[in-house]
Amino acid sequence: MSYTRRKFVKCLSLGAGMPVLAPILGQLEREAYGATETGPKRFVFVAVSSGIMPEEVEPPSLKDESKDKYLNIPLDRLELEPAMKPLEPLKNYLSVVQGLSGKMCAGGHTGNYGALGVWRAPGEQAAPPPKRATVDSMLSRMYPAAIDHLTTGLTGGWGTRVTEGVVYPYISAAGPQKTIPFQASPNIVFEQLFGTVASKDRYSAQKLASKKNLLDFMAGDVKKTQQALPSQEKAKLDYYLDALEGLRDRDVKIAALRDSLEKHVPEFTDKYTATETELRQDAHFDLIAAALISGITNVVTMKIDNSATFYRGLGINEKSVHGIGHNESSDGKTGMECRAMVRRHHFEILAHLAKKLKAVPEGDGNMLDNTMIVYISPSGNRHHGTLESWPMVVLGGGGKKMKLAGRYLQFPGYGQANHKTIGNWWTSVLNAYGNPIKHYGDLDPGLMKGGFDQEGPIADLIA
Amino acid sequence: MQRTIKPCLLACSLLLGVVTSQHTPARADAPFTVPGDVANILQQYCIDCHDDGLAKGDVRLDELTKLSKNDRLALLSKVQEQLYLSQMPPEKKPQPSDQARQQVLGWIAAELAGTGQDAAFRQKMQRPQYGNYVDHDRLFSGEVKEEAFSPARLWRRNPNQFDRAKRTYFGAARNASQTVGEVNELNQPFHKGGAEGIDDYAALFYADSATFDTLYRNAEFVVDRTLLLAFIEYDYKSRGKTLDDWKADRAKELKAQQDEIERYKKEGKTTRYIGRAHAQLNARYKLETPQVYRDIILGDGKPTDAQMEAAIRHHFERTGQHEPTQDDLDKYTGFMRKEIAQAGPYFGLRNVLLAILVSPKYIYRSELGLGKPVGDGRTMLAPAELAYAISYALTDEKPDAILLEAAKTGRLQTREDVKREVVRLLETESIEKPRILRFFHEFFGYHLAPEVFKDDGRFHDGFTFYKIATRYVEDTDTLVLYILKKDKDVFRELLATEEYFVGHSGDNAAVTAEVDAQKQLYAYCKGKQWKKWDTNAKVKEQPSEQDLKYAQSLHPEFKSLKGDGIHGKMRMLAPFEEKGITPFTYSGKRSRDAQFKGLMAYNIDGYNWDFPVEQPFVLDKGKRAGILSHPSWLIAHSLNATTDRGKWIRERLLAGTVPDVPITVDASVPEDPHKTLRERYQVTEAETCWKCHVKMNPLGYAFETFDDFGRWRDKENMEGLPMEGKRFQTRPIDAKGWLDGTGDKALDGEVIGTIDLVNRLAQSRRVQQSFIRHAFRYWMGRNEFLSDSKTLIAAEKAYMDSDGSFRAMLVSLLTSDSFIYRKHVD
Repeated sequence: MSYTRRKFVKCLSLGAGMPVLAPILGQLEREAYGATETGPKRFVFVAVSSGIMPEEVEPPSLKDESKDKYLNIPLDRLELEPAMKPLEPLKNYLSVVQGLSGKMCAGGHTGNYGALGVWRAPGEQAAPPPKRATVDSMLSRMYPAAIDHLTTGLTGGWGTRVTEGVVYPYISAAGPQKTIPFQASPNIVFEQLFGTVASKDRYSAQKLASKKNLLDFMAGDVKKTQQALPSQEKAKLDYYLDALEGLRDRDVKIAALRDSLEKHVPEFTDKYTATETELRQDAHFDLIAAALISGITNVVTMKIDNSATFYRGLGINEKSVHGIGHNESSDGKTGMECRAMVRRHHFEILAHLAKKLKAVPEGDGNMLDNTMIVYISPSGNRHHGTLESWPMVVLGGGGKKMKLAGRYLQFPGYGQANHKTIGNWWTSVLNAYGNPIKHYGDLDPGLMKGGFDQEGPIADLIA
Repeated sequence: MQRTIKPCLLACSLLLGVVTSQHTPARADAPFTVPGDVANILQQYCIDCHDDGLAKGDVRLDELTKLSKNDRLALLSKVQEQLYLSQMPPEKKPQPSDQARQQVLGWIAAELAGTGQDAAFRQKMQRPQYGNYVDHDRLFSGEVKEEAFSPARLWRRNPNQFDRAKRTYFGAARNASQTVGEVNELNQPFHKGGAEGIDDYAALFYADSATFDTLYRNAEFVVDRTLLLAFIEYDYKSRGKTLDDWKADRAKELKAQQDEIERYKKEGKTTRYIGRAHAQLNARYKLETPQVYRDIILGDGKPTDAQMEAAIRHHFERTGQHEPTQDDLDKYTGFMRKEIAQAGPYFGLRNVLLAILVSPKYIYRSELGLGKPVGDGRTMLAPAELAYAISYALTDEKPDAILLEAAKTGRLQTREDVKREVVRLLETESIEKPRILRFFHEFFGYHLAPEVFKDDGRFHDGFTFYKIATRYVEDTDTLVLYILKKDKDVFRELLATEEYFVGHSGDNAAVTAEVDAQKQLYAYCKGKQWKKWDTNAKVKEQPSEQDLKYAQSLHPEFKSLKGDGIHGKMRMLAPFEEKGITPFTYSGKRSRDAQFKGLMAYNIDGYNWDFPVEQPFVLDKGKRAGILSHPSWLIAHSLNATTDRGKWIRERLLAGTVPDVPITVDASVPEDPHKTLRERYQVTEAETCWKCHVKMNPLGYAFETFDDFGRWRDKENMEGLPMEGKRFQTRPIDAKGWLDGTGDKALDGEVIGTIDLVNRLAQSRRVQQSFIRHAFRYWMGRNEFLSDSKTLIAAEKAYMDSDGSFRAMLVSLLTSDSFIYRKHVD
């Protein structure tokens, strides 16, 4: 049985009652899967380009350990890799996951949707149309909010130089053929999230009502226009129709969150219109924190850089992420040294976000207890991913749904007994949070040959 | 049995260029069978590896009949892609004939038709990087008899069209800076794919929630600004106040601003920024609300149809859109009436103006083929559609008055009509046609040079490299425009001309006048105390009135010269004049040193160069030829130079294909200061890598004669090794490469160096055809189908019959069936 938010919206034809019911709908969807837990869970997916190499997140003391065996070690017994030092104070919330393979996806410079969708989607300039909804999008429907899925990023796909406005990183999909656009301009994200409360306009209520009429009118107009079109062109307008309907819902829901938004609106400063990588990242993450804390969204996917990004604020002037990924030296440092600087910078950002969430009490604990931040690369395990392993760094308590926090996990190497794939991993995540899907993602033909049972969740991970 | 092709099958066969299948898919209720001829081919070439014995890649083709329908279709779709991309059978195995391959593809297409299973594959094949998979030889063979057309389609507006249209959003014409400086606040709603190269394809781009968001944000900004003054009146009136009250409030605001400035001054703070902020705030009150809008907002709340229509028409015009149809007018007046009843005239009008700026018609250009049917399923574009298609082919603007008039008066209904208008636009110099130069940008990619990062220090300390790279791009643009103006042997010239422009506008008369003026200035001033005219001089002096007058009279650009400016020019001119050579024309707006140093990419020592006043000139005989030896192109393709440059030639010039980087590749170039770049690239010659790299590296190796700045060289500087005195240690280069794939035995073979390579490429018919294929894609907004064969052959013929006129080829493309006719393809 599959209850989607959309179906509920349609059959209940909600209108103004909508915002009150939004969390209930997610609950209903989770209940439809048989889940009983209540309370919001939050997810932040941070997609980094150029791969996360296993050794880049491995505690130095484990360097000589065999990669073929299973490890599950409390992190407080281990010294973190130097670039991970910013996460030291959050060790209880931290986990490093190693050894999951993803050879059913495309490697190379980027596997695009592969990381969150587990299918092969090669292409550096653009990816083939999505095969299914990616995990982040599925979770956003299970934990809906005014903005079900907030997608922001510094920039779009693998090598694009576009850094403003709407971008397409090809990492998240809402369903077959439906890629999810990301917003690269922090000032626009600011306005989308907090525009209604930041505005001092006496007529803002009237404008909102007019906008609703406009959306209704446009939807009617689009449907009429569609009638004369060939099917492929009809589909183009379907996307538009979806957009109009989605926005109509969103505006109503945002209006209902006014009090909370007013409380958490960040101060609008120069960094929202800055061009420097590091300032923009800072602005984006401020907004992500404010969005989660104010309750306007529960699921965020953030594309933190791409291969054309320069980290000049870190003193890496000569080479972009692509250059250092190919281990070219820059500013007198080796590519690897530069990568470590970038990595450390990212972990500082994550730590900052985590600390903000930790400072907000929720239930018996705090918001970080109910949040899962996943740091992962669409390129997998290196600049040109080979995907026999797909390292991830996870931060947050995740609502105690998974046995992750504070652990260093290494699954047995590719092809070894009990080896696991990212398909198993995401299946576990979906199961843990209430979607009892049998298996999420494509299977690895290479493992199939070895008679491997690749399907299902990783039982040890689920609390 | 001959069957009628269903639309779906048609779409697929078009795309794939497969022969029409004589196979009929099994009826839904009939048991599935593989037709005998297809089964034989599968048996002969596939089943050996894909049966129960080996089942390579876990694919079995011997049990197709036993599979469930869904599994079977999924498998067939996989087979289709493998066959189409010629990835199966593997290279070392016996290959089926073209005909056999087509036969199987035709059968699969028929089986998949209408099932949706091939949708992903079809979409993939519509992307630019798969364009070359349409069989080149068949396209130009003349054997394809099908009539050409483009699918009926919506084509999303592109970023350039938006940038052009927005300039008039606030009512001012032409110059963006005149429009109260606010057009830059508008965000680009239409993203261009990240791809380099030609990719504004109708099938690729659509509007989603993000597009709507941006459009709506822009629309609110534009509409609220435009209506502001009328709104103020309306707002004050509706609150029982008058315009005088507003004036009083406004005076208070201005007073407060003045007070703020005074306070800043008192506190000793700079008032520059606060002043600018005030100016920005005040600028919005300078924009008059057009009378047609005022009539509605400040009227009695019951506007007439005529008033509403006038407002709607004005808005369409101002935002660069098509003329509203009666249907548009009815729709929007209806909406306005309803909204006014609900929320009053201001919000009523506002909402309609917003709606127009987010409507599907604003986003998509319609090319549905609403004109005359020709009887074979194709229809012509309607006159209005043609007017837009023609205009957007060459400009970023909506059709001009003549085109619109032609469309209205029945003079845009035939191929000859189209030709007349295309030729008119091409021949009218005053009409800007940015789309033509942009094609060469997208084709060659040389315009991306400024975006490739170079270490400023390696080049010259103290300024940024990208500004210099911009100059190289300008030089290449000048060359391209010069070649287009001559319009003879265009492709060959682009690839192999020995002539270049360096630091020259392309206008010999203008440059001569400027150089002469400089010489006269020097001759006049050299005996004077010009060194003291410098504002930084210890003892400052000013030139006499008479000196100033003379200097200012020499050249229009000199007319505001003062003592300091003359000093600057003299300082630059002196070393050259003393050596008896002509200085590189130096415009005071740019950094002089940067320009002189920047010439190094051409292997020119800027400080000792006798600038050729008449250009183009032969720059480096035997060392450089054409755009591929131009610093701009070399820099733009220098990230992974050998593979980038080789891949570019394989795909753009040889119409070849290079597969995606495979999963197993860790393509880092190992660092080793003792090895040349070519030596470091040897890692790619390992067997697994070479399979793909053989398509790129042998072509790229020929460019070893240039470094990553585009400097010609016969030795490579070993920058990682300790220097020997002030010089780098060097190693000899190896520029030996290999050309294949021209289809001409006389040209294929070993090549040594760039000149050898580009000269061969320039003689290749296939290269000429590849140019034309790319021009086709750019102007049709899609990959070619096999059915476009006649269009391509005609375009090449037009080019050859006219001694290589690009314009003739372009006119041929824009009057082709592919451009003019549409067909509904589902």
